[in-house]
Amino acid sequence: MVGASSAIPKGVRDNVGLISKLFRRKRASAEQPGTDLLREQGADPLLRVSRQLLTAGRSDRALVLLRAGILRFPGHAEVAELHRTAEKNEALPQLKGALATLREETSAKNHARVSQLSRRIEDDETATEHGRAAIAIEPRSPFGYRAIGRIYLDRFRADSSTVDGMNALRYFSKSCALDPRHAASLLALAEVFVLLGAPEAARRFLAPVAGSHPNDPSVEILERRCSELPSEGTSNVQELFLRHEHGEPQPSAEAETTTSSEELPSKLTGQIGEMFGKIAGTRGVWVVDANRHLVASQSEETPGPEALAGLGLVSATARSCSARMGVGNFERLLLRADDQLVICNVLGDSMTGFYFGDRPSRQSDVEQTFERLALSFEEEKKAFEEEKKAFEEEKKGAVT
Amino acid sequence: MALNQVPCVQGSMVITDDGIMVAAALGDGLDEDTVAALSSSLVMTLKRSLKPFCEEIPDEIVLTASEGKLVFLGLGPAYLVAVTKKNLKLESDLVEIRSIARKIRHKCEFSV
Repeated sequence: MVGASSAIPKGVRDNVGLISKLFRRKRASAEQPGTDLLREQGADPLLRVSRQLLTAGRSDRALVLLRAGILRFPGHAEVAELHRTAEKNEALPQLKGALATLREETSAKNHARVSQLSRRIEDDETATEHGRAAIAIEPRSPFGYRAIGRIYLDRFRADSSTVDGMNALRYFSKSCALDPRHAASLLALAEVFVLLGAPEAARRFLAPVAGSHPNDPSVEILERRCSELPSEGTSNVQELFLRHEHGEPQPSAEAETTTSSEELPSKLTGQIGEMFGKIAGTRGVWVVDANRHLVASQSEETPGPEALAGLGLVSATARSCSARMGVGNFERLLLRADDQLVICNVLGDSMTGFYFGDRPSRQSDVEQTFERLALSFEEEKKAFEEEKKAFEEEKKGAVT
Repeated sequence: MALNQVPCVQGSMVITDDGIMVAAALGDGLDEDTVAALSSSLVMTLKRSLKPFCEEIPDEIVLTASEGKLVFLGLGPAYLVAVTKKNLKLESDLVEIRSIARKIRHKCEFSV
């Protein structure tokens, strides 16, 4: 292939930029030495060759291998450490020059370069500052978003923190929205989804890179990891983060601690119908449990399974956000506009009530009604538990 | 008046619709990354999940929890997020927050 490229006269090659680019791409994609090391079961051959390359002063090559290596061997301490050290050693001498360039010309690209090098020397604070400066100077340029996304991705990879994963996803999504063909950003998004256990979503970002960089070892590794994962069965990103945080199935342990939907429905439906029916402007009231089952409905109209899953997701997200943001346990969510009132109210340990109406002036009536309903739930639950306890004691007595 | 001087307000932040933090002035104990990520995640979930029930999601959202409140006010393509103490009065303090949100919206030319 190299021979074919050099057979084209130089002048022609320079004039036909596209052909030249194609030749360069093909040659680059064909040369991926070391990819076979990433197919090995263990990380030792990769570590050995990377160390040899570093000793021989071929840190660029070693870094390509190690960057693919951390995807191939996630959580492998030695690979992560060698990658970190190699990046740091390569970045340190370049940082001074990048700072000088930035002083000469303040641009998003130059800020992003300093951010990237600062991140590699593990100075996340400076890296974040320069990434934000890049966004502030040129909010329509992808450089700053990429730089910050990379900081969060590194952390997400290291500690699996949901917050870092969410931030990585947001920044790389923004970067891809501004530059949809940027291979590194697409790969980063694919990696976030692989880490979230979502192969279908990851494949959507891998496909365009697989086309443009078919022999990139990172593409091959991420594709392999996708094939090892079961399908996520949802396209909802928030759902993926909740699963990542709480594990699957969604809070079923919580559901066991309370009266289940099967035991209450008709009574509860009658109760909420009576309580909320008196409030003018009510369009619908639905109660869902922790397993996202409809427990009771004031309206004759029953939401479809997808809509119901959405209500459950709102409840789970609000509970998770309140706790994580340090404001304590979630109690109520109020959404208000001139002609709309939506209230989502916690009812006991795991149930949540949703009110939809068109009269915001009835807010306090709805809130008070939910409070009464929550109290009545508590009493029901207590009565049910006492009854259950009595039954079990009776059963135990009968056996002995 | 600065938003963080409103009684009960512990910190505030502006995030874009797609979850990118524009500005933040959060008090002690509040982490920028966490508030930005979770706020945008909550707003996005509400927008997506409540769509079958409301044509348009209201611009004013208040989350009440056992130890505080989170107020989200729409600024066009962004949201003002205020983290407040539990005793924030919706009828009085929220009026001040709304007025500041309007000023921010105007100043940043966020008006739709």
